[in-house]
Formats: sequence, C-alpha cells, structure tokens
Amino acid sequence: MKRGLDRRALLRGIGGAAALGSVGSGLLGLVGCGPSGDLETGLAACVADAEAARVVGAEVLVALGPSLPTAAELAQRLAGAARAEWEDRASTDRARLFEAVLAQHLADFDAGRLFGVRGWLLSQTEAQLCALVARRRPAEV
Amino acid sequence: MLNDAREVPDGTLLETDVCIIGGGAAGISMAREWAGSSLDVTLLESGGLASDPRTQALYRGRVFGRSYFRLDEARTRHFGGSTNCWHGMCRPLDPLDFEERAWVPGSGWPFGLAELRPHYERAQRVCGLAAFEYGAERWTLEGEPPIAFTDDAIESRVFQIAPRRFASLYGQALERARNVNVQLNANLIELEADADARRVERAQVATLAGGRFAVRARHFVLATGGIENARLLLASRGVRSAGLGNDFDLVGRHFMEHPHLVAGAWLPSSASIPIGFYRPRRAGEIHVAGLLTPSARVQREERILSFASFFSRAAELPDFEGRLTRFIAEMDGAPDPASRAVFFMNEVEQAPNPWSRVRLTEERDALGVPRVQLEWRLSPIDKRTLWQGQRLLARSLGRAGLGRLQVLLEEDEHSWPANLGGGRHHMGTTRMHVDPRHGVVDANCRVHGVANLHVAGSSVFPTSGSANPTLTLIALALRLADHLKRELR
Repeated sequence: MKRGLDRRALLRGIGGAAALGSVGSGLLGLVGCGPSGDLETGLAACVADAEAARVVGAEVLVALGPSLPTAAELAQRLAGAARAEWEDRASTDRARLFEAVLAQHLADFDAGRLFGVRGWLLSQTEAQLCALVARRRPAEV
Repeated sequence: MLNDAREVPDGTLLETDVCIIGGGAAGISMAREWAGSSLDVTLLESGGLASDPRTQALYRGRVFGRSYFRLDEARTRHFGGSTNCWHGMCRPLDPLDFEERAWVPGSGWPFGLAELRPHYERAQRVCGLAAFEYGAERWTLEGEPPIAFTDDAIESRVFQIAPRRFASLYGQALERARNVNVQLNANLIELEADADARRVERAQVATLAGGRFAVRARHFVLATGGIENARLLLASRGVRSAGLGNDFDLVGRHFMEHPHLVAGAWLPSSASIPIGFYRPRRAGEIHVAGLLTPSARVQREERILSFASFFSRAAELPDFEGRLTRFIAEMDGAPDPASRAVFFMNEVEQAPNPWSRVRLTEERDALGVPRVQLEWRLSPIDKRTLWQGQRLLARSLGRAGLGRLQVLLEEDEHSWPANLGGGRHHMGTTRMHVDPRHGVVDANCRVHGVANLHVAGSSVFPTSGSANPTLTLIALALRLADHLKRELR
C-alpha cells in the first residue's frame, strides 16, 4: 500500500466481504495481500511506512519493559480471542485484516485502552502494531 | 461626581443610601445602575485615576506554601480595578457548574443558570460584548470549523474577548451623575457594626495622606476583590473578634484560582486540519477564540471538574515526533502528515477546599490594616481533572482520526509541575450558600446575619467552573443591584 492513501476511505469503499469480490484484486494488492501470509506478516503489512512504525515501535518496546515480547507474541496480543479469524484474514484477505485492526484501534480509544509512548497516548492496538514491526527484521516487514 | 478623598475634612461623616467599596468591574457596574436615580450612592475607590506604587503596596501580603504571584502584582488598585489590565476573556459558567455534584464537596449554587441568564445578558452589554452566545455554531467561520469530534465527550465553545477599561468606559458617566459620589484615594479600613454585629453602622475610611472620615449608609457593598473582600471582613473585628460575617469560620476559606498549565500537545494527523477557530480572531467589535471543554455527561461519568483547553503555541517536530506524525497520518488516513504540534493551555476548575485560604497576619499596611497570608492549596480532584481531561481529549482526537495527544504531566493526584500558574482569578473566600454554616453570604449576596452588608465579586462564587470570572461577577453584581433597588423602595 502506498503511503498517503486514505485507508478509511478505502475501507468505506470496500464495504465488507460481499463488496470485496467485486472490487477485485487491485485493492487487495494495495494492502499487500500475499498468497499465504501468516498473521505476523499480515499485521506487519498493515503498515506502509515501516521505518516510521519501527522507530515508534522501538519506544513502545522500551515502555513495555525488559522482557521483550517476540513478534509472534505481539501478534497474539493484537489478535487476542479473534486470532483464528485474523489468521484467516491474513492468509486470504489482508484488506479485511486491516479493517479489523482499524476497528480494534478505534475501539481502544472508545474504551480508553491507551498506551503512553514518550507521553503520546496511542491506542494499544497501534502501539502493539508498531512494536511488532520493530521486532521483525527489516527484510521481513 | 469624581472627588478626591484627600480633600474630605478629617472626622467627616458622609451619609448615603448605598456605599460601594471598590471601583473595579463589580463596583462600577453597580454604581452605574443608580446613576441619575433618586438614591445617593458613594463609591469608595482605594486608588486614583492612575497607578500609584504606595496604593498598590497596600495589597502586599505573604504567600505560604504553593508559589503564587506577588499579591501586590496580582490585582490593580486604582479606579477601574483590574479591568485596567485584564485581557477581556469572557465566558459564562455552564449549567452543570451551578449544580450540586456528588463528587465535588461544597458544590452547588443556590440557583441555576436560568436565574443568572438575564443578568448575564446585561453583563454582556456592560462589557461591550456581542450577544449572549457562546456555542461553536454561532462563531464558525467558513473554512475554519471547530474540531469535528465523533463523540460528545469534548465540546467546542468560544471566549468573547473585549478588554474594556471600565474607568475609561464609564468614568465620565459616573462623573456626570450628581447622585453618585466617587471618592478616589479612599481606603476602607474597617466596617463598624452595631453591638450585635447585625448591621454595619459606618465604614471607616483613611487616605494615604493621613485623612480619616466615615461613611454611613443604608446598605454597604464590599466589592474589593477575592482576597481583599475577605481581608476587610476579617479585619472588621471591633465587635466580633473573628471578623464580620465569620461566625462559622468561613471568611477567607475556600480560596480558589483557575490553575493554568500547558499539559498537553496535539499532533494533528494532517497538516490541513483547520485550527483557526481556536485562534483569537476579530468578530465585529470584539474578538473570539475557540476552546475545548468536557461535556456535562463526561464530567458526571468521570467524576471530574470542568476545564478549558485552548491553543497556546505550535512547535516544530523533533526526530521521534517526525516519525510519529508519519505513522499517525497513515493510521488516520491523512495524506499530509502535520509538521508541527500544537500545545494546549489548560484552565482548570479548582474544587472548593477549606484549607485553601486567606488569613490575616500580624503585619499591617501603611493604614494599619492587617496584611494577609495566602495559602493556595489544591486537591487531588484538581490534578485528576487535568490528566484525566487530557486523556479524554486524547481519546476523542484518536477516535475521530484527528491525531494524538501528548500528556505533559505525571498521572498522579498530588504532584504539580513547576510551570503551574494561575489566572489571577481570586474566588470563593466569601462563598454563597443558603445555610450560614456553609456560606458567608446568602443567595442575595448578603452577609449572613448582617442585614445591610453585601458582597459583590468572585469571592461569592461557591464553585468556579472553568470560565474566567469577570462576566459572572458582573452578572451577580447587577443582580445584587436589582435586589438592593427593591430593598430601598
């Protein structure tokens, strides 16, 4: 996905699974859908500007403390109980995976699930997403 | 008439219907109400027509505990009072500010906004403001809308700004009024009560030139500011050793300020989010500037006080924030990451706290009046309101995809950063309550137990809200004038 694309507009345009079929592979290509991506890779692919996310994620990892979670653990934390569904989306439909991530990110703000990085209050989801990107080797992002 | 008290012969007893002590926003607003009427009004103003260091020094006092402005620099003591130096930021209290809130001890006014609203509308005219409208819709300019939140936690409102100098604005009219006797350079040194302290008999007045005289009136109105009102009641101890109106040890207690603090920085998700609504801008004869404040719902749910956040300055982004802005723009779907963060100045309501107080010291000023000691004490809810308020703002901005907020203070209930300031807003020291055990003045601003002594000014506020106090204190002063007009019929 190219940086600067309005993803909310994109999601609005996608409008759910039914619409996805007609939108076609062009949009899926935009969100980096691979043929068999695992959850960790799929989540990392939600971020277009990996360099920015990695810098933010490094600070998130510092704030998380000494026991550094692995990328896989961070993916698990992000998905939580929806892991199976997210894994499915990661392997088949990354646009819908990003849709789920974004919905959870917004729900974090609703529920007050915030994460402080250098005083900046991020949603827990976006903070963990950045941490996940930071924990992966650059070539993997 | 404008007169110089230094020319009043020693020992004179001036007789009048209403004696107003203090020629600031409240005193001048009240005196105007009687100009040209059949009643005689005497207005005692400590200063002259211009600032004078000796007069200003009468304000000197001690600050104990939390640091604060020097007391002789916190107000202006000459005709016009602190309207000689104010910024003219006006906003009424919100409906919730008048209510008793279970989570705010000491909250609750004897009446609601509906009672004060007609007086607010008059106060608007006294201050030279526009119509009594403070909602964002009324003041939205094309291309500069308020922030479009997607929830109702944070609301946009405006200040109306008109820093009118009351002495210039109304001095001539008072000078022309033959029934209004403005005595300049006249300092109240004591209110003398009858043997039961049920009526004030005389106001004892002194000048820095050494003169002494007295004023006898049917009604007295103390309108000398939030610290001086308490000081003069406490110092009037000829009959009651604790001072006038102080049977329940309330005079001087519950001193409130509006803590001012830059406590948050906003990193907008897009460089093109318009923020002009929140910058001071001309609107006809006045200026307006937007602000952000928590809704009544969220104050109730979060059990916090009110606050107002307004933009202070913008800053270029350092390295980390330079990356953060790119990431946030991506998450929020913005094509143009912001290159600057905007800092929020917060003006916070302070909960009434009986240990935040003004009291007399042994030291006396040049006229023999005891000087005061100010102990400004904040409460855990004040601090919690500030950081919880920043979190609420962060949530609303994030939820709407408008960026992220940096909180610039510790999330605890006790520590305050060194950059904590105030607004020079002195409130609460003669608080209003229908029950004399809980308030110094009643709902008509009459000192409990003293039939002809009234207080005008922000010292009567039981709670402060987050609005600058001048508009409200003028509305209350006008309401008090109406009450006295009825009493004097």
